[in-house]
Amino acid sequence: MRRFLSTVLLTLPLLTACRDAKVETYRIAKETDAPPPDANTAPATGGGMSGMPVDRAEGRALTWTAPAHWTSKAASSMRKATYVLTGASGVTAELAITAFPGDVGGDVANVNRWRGQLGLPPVEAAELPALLHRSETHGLAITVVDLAGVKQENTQRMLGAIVPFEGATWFFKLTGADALVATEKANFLTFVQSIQPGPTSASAPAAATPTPAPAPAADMASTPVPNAAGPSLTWTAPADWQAKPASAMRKATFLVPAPGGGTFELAITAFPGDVGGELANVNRWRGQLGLQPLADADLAGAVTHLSANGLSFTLVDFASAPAGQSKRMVGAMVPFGGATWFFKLLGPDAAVAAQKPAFLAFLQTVKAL
Amino acid sequence: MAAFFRSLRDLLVSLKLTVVLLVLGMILVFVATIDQVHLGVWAVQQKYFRSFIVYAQIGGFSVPMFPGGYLIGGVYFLNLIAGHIYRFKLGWRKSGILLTHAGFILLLVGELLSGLWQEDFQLRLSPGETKNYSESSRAIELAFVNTTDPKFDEVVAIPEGLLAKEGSVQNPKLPFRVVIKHYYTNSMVQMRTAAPAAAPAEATAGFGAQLAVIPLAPTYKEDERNLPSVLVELLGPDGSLGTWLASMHLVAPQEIAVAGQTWKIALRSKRAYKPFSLTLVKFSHDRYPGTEIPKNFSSKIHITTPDGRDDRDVLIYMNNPLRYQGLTFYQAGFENNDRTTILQVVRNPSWQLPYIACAVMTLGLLIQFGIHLVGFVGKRRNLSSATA
Repeated sequence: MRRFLSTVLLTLPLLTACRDAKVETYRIAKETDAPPPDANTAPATGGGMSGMPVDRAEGRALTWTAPAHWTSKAASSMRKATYVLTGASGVTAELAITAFPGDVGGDVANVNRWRGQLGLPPVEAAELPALLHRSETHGLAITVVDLAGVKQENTQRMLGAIVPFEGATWFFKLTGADALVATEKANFLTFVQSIQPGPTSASAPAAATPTPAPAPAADMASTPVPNAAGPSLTWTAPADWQAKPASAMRKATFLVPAPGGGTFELAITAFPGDVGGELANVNRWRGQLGLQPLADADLAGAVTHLSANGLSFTLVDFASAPAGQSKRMVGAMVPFGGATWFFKLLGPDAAVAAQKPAFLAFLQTVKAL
Repeated sequence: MAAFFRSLRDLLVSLKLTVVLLVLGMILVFVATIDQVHLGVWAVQQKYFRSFIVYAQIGGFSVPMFPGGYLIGGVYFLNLIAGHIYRFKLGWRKSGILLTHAGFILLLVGELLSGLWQEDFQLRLSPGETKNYSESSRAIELAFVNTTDPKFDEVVAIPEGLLAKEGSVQNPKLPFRVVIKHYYTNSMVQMRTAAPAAAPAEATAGFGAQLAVIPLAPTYKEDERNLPSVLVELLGPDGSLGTWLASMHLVAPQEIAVAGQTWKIALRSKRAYKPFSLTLVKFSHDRYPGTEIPKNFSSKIHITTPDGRDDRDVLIYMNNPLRYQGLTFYQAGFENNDRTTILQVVRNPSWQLPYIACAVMTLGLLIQFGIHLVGFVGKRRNLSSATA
């Protein structure tokens, strides 16, 4: 009996000792690497697309001319450029331009990756030529593919162009609702014909090689986030602020006049939940200005609070260095109806400073619809 | 020696020990509940209950502060068993108490087994995507994958526990020694061009040289996760192969060629490979017509095994998990505009034990109170018949 007890007493710690961390080795079937990240297949490990520095193709860039009605969006570190196309009844499609070193697996792999994003089965190499339309323009070999998803309620369609250029592969991918993409196909093909090598100098035009945006955890611009579709807020904007049509990503956009002429934007967005919490949101904004993230302890000193109409706003006011030509952001976030609403005024330092009182007065008008 | 064992026995069977352990247990639960505010439920379980000793950080040192759940529970378990063996008398009057205690012992054992065996992983699938592994939502690993052989990949995975120790790891499968220089439990990674003020890069090879790592305070919130980064130097037989940065922020693995072999390096969620593959055929998020109110979430999954024994579709929806090869797949969530499904993959061979334990305890208490009630009623009847 005693021996039994002492044995039990001694083996109990041993039982749990096997939980200790050990190096594991095992053999698995051959794995193909994840395809180059794409906004539609963003893994949700916490970081958004732009948080992942991928080996992007640097070097000489391509340039192009986009139709006037395509709206250019802020570039992210993943994308060479992004355009938003808005159709009737507010439907949108997006053109994403990316570039990666090498051939990224070749045409079969690239087309099949796109097919996968539309829920289509992969094709064999032999079936490929029938799907591809090859052309040549400005000394570039351009491969265009037109893929429509499985017919269903809101079928997605994709127009893609693959352009190998100086050891890298450029991808132009237009995705959106079937009907809209179909009507834009002619524009897309014209656009594709406008693609040409950029100037040889290191400083390529800004439109073609946007500087990589500083990218903390999640970049709203390129990560498909479900918009908060719950109860809504309403507001009264000053008369000289010009409202722009709402987009899929934005609740509202206002063009705010700068004192010396020109305009800058007030963007209003809403996302479900707390979008990572106050600190994450403040640090994302700081990242957009190229500022260092704050520690948790510094947060309280960096924000101010404002209460209006039963809403509690958290306000920030940041300016990027160097002073003088720097950018400034006055932002407000407010939790409402299970979502977080963001009001972001971003523009040249002096202009934003001049409009700050108007912005604060505007926030006083925000209330539940 | 005999005297030692006798005193050990006296200690083990003592009821005073039981009371002390119960009080210690209550204090532990109280303190852990308070600390949950700072650490969150998962970290509290690990620190207070799934440990032998609770340590506190005082001036950079780990100081043992209090017996942990395993120690209190373990000694309590021994105390219960020893007490019963020592004082054991078979008789129906004690049957209720015996059953109640047996149920309690089962509960303790069940908790220990859950702590040891439970696996709680996640599986994210986009339409058409096939995976033969699930990923932990918390644990991470530094994976070295040898892709040289055209038929299979060889994986060497270093768990978080070893990375955090910042020591060095040698494995017969690896053609280099891994020296862990820095491990950041939570971090942010920025392009150096965007963070000119960052300290000079420690990484000398791979993407790491262009990136700045900014350590962040670990988060314990339920809805956040830490995104670790690690700096490792690889030492081959002919000297250093460079210092590499691996981070959860990097999606694509980095490649290194050593001695005619190609290795891939990635810090990733801990993976559990399965002897079968799952493909997402379709994820559906049905809403009540004309509203945004969810009606049903379901994932149509195709299971295949390499031996061809299974090649079929299954439908997983709320309250209807797939139970397959000892694992349970629950519909846990979705993301990416209703395209990607998130399945919870749970293995807990002892999940029934708490239910059985509670049933046994209930039965024991019913019997015990029943015996007393019958005795009491009998006594009253005798008393009233005697006075009548």
